[in-house]
Amino acid sequence: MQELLGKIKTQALAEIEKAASAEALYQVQVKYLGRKGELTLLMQGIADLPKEEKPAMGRMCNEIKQALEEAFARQQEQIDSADIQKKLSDAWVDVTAPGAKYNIGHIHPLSQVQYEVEQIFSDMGFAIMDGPEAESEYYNFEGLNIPSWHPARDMQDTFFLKQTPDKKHGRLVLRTQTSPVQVRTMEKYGAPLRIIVPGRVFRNEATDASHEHTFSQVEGLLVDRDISLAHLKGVMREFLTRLFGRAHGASAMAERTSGSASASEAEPINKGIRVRFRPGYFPFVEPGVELDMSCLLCNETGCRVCKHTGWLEFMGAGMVHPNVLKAGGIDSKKYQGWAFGFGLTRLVMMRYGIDDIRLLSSGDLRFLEQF
Amino acid sequence: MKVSLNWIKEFVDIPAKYSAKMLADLLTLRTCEVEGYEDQGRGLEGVVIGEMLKFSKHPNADKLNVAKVDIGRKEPLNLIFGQMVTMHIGDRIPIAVAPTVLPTGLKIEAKDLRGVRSEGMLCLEQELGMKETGVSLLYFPKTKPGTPLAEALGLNDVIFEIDNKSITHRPDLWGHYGMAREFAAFLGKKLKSFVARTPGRLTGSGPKAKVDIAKKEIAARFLATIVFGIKVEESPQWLKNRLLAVGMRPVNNIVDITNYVMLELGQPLHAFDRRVVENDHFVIRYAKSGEVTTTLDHKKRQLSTEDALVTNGDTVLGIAGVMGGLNSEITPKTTDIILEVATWNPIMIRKTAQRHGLRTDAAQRFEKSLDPEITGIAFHRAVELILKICPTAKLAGPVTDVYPRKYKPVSVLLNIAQVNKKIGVDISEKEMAAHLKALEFAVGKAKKGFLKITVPSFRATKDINIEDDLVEEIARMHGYEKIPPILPMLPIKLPIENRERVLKHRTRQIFSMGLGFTEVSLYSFYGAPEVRKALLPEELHMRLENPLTEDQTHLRISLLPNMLKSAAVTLYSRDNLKLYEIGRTYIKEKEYFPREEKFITGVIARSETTKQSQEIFYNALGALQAFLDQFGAKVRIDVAQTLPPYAHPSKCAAAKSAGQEIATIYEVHPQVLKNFGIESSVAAFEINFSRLVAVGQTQHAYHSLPRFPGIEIDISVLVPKLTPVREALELIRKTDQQLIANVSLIDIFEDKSLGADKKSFTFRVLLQSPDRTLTDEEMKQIQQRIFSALQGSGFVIRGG
Repeated sequence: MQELLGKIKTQALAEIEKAASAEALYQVQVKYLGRKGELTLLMQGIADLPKEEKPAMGRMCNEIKQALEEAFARQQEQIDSADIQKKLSDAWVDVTAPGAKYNIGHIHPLSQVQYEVEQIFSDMGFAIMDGPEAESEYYNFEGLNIPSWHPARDMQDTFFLKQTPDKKHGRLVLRTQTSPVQVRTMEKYGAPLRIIVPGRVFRNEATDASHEHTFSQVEGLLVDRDISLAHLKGVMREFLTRLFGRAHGASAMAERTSGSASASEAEPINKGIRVRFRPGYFPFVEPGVELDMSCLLCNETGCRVCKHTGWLEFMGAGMVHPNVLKAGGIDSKKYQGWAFGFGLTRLVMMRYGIDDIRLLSSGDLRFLEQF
Repeated sequence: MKVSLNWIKEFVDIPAKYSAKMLADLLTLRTCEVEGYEDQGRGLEGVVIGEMLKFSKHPNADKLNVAKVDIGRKEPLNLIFGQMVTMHIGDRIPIAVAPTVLPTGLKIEAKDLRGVRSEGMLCLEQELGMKETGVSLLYFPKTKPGTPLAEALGLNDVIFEIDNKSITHRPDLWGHYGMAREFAAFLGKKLKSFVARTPGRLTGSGPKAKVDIAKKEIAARFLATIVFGIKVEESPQWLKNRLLAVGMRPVNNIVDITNYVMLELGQPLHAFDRRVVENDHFVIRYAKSGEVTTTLDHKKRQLSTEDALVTNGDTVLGIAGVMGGLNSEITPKTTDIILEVATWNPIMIRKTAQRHGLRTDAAQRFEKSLDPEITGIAFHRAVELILKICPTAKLAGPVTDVYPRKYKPVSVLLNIAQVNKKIGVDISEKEMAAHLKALEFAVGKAKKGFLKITVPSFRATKDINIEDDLVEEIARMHGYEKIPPILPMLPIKLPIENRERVLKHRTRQIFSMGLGFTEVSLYSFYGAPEVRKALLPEELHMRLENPLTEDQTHLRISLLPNMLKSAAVTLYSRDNLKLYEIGRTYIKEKEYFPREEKFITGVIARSETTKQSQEIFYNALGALQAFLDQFGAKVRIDVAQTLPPYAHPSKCAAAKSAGQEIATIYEVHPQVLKNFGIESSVAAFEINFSRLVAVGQTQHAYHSLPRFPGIEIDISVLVPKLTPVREALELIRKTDQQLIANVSLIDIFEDKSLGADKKSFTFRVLLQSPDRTLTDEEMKQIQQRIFSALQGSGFVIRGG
């Protein structure tokens, strides 16, 4: 028996070493250590041996079994590591082939920029307000210190709606500006007030690459006890720096002008945006100013985008006219503040270098899927 | 409006150190928007007229000459020239004086050329950039040496193009004198006073114009006088040059003078041929109802009773302040004229100009509320010029000056502290006074901390009435650039919450980033064809009074038509699309304001050729359900009670919450698809966003994870074809409310083998208990109960 055991051991070890795959190794394991394996059967035979032989044989069997088990484990490890080696050495992916397709949709660029604008102003404590798009002449004009005879009405071509005029409200129009929400919000919440109003506005004009009858504006209003023009400058500088500080704003614009490459154009702007005022006329503010921002591309040195002035026209603003505060039911002796309005659509076009305003309302997926 | 710098220089000295760009920038920063400027002599600054004194061959170069040229300096200039043109002693020609750069970019520097000094260059037209090719020289035999070439060519002006919108509120800026006042103020220079020297009689007993104004409000002031001995001819060159510089065509001396005065003072005037007026009598009245007149532009005008007319009592001579009548022109035969100037009611002028679409130079100025005091000055200025330019002219008699609404000085009390508080700076009382004085405001004493400001007549008509108006004057003259950017010190306060906005952005995240939809933003209106194509009821629409195009006549009552229109185009080139828009609808109501509601409308389209087992309706339903689940709105889907007209009547559902319809889901009506030229299958959902927000979001509740394994059983059941899934599903669920953790439909199967009016549902039922592992016995019991429940409703268990 001893001899037989020795033979099994030698044979088994040889076979283990020869097993090249997990499957082959398993077969060897079954052959020797399985339920009907050669070693298993022998070990069962120990019970039939004479009592004095049992311990020695038992020990020997166990030693062999242990040796085999260790050999199996070693061989298994070798096979595993050979397998991994094989997986590593045989494999190749073409990194230039496209990845599997996942369909993610797109948020309209206007919505994306609007969201950013709302976030920045929210962070500064401004509430986001809303108002009707079909608006009365009263809120769109009279309440904003633009009586019917006022030449400023010519500045905005108005869409009128077929509706019997109302005594207080006058004719029904599609709002030409987001400003009517100023008076509506003042009426509702009184002072102090810190709001912005992003929204759709309408002008009755023919469309071309730079004119649209439908576009978006953002109105802002801050009314409190000691609010000054200096604060308007401060808040707008903060807002614009945050909005354009994210480098991609500047770089998208740089891309548009590529071809007229100069070092300053390619460099993203990371320092603050500067703002300047110049006189402007809007009946609902006094003083009225136009606010320009420093050109993102040339850092005020002058380039094609800013028409060599170093500045980009950004918005109209000013101190809220006492007549407007009055229309909103706010005492202009106690409260003062400023209002501004800028074109969100224009901002989107500036940010992405979009050269045709009509694309924004076109529903053209070739355009929308770029965002 | 165009402004000529040379004209401005008549009234204010502008130091030479200010370049055209600097002036344009200053004007923009202090006064009004300069859209652009034309610097006529740019690049010619270093070129003057020089006279050839003598010349001789260059000692060391055969082809060169050495010359001495008088350029108006003490010492003549040395220069060297070649053989391009033949020169003569005494020729007066353009000389570039070193150092300078010519418009062509050519740099001229003083240098030695083979031992001889050259201090400039004799310039050919080609070298000055005036001609492209050839060799030619300009001669100025009458021009004094040393005269700048630009001046010799009459090219020394700078023309600023002013944005008219930026001077809407400033009647004083519609003439050069008013503009000059601004230049003087911001350059700290003195403005020359404007005096019209009117020689001859302005009183006396000669013939005199008679003026009657029917209603006082028509004109604040009206002046007229008769002038004899007019000889109508071309204007002198200086006058024509002035007009041409700012883009006005010279006509004849009389018309040009009226235009000149308008451009100088901003006050339009009119000269009538005295024979046309006939009776020297002006009757100013409103037009009668139905009255018609022909204007200077040969157009017949149907007049309104709000249009004012200048008549002689019988004949209409023109529409007041807007345009003269056909017969009112000055002709070469005119010998006697009546000069007329008025301050018309600005509101009346504006309305008349608008009504007749006549935005004339005159109307544009009158509607800005002109100063009646300036009206007087302009009148005298015109008389002065007529007498000067037309030496034979004589004033016939006294001037008629009807001044029903005399200018009353306006004064404003200025609170120094308040001004600084509004601007956010610290400007002293003295500085404020200086800024205002520079603009001709009178500054008077008042109580401590205040100034009494009297507004000059030319700013008092409309522009300046209150303290805030003066804040602007002080701020701009102080310099807006000196206002520091400061963040306000305001208490921390949570803004008024706007949940709708937050949820709108959340909605976009879910649809675009989660469900793969692309957001579009389409117009708020469509045309009559879309109304018809989408089978919409005409009467719910608000209509536009003045659409520009046929596709903007109706305000949308649904977002769908424009989406279909847009989808139709996209579907030419694509098989599938998933779009959504968040936008408003406007529904006509009994009230004045239409009902504006916000909707999320989504469209899923798929080409008919793509093989799909499922109706596209379920794609829309699935998207809606996934959205609402993410959004946190609990709804129940049912057959829709009311259908949108463009929905397929038997493929339409509604999502309700708390009895309110939140959304509809439908396949688009095949007729509507056909109308829009769409061959694909299209399903859509419309979520009433305002209602959805009102329903609110339910918190996603947490359920503890099961500790014991569950058992899944699949049950297939044969049912009549029109049986709703929910019916069978509810039967199953109700059999054991405790141990049935979930029931889901995993398949619907239809096949001839089942019978034409039958279908089979397969449900997967999950049995699970929170406190133990279920036994086979329990499982069998429940399964048996489910079978009985289904069979009780007449369904047949398959394979059971």
